[in-house]
Amino acid sequence: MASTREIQREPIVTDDLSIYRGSWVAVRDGQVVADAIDPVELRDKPEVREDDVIFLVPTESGKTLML
Amino acid sequence: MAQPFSIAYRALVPGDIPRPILGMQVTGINGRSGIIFGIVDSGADTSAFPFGYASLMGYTAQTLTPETYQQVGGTGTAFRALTASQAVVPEIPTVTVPILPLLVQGAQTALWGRMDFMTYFDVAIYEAEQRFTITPR
Repeated sequence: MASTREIQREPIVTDDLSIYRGSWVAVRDGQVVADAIDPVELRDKPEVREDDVIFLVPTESGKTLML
Repeated sequence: MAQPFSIAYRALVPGDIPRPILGMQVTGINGRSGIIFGIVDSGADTSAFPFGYASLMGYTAQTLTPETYQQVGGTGTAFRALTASQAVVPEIPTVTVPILPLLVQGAQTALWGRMDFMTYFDVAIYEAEQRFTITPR
């Protein structure tokens, strides 16, 4: 049987994101480098690099999720 | 036999409930690419993203069509991509998943769904161990 390989072990973000809830953030090495309400406005900011991770910070904190 | 890849549950926001979240490199129809973190969700028929990703991926009114979706809380209208984007797990570059994501206004989190992502990867959830595995088919 093929051995299992662990991947993606790093935390996605190490910064406190609570002040960004409802906004889009650009994250590099686990830290927020920029934020904006609109994702395209965020992507086009000069401090945001092409390889930064961009995502929406959920408005709700750790509640049970029903999809 | 294909090699399984194991991923520990993580929280998108520190302090939130850890979930089976996977980062995939997604290339939109505009050729731009970036990592999208989504929950691996067997309850999602297809992959679905918060609507804001539409413009980042190059989707416009010409490449989206309205679609009614159903969830536990009722139904809503979202927009289905008409042209496929590509998604790749960075550590498994040999497998490219074509996706026609559902772009949902008000959605908070991306979902990797069953009829696209899980056609290319077998998924096992180990809730007691707070991890999951994906195995290329």
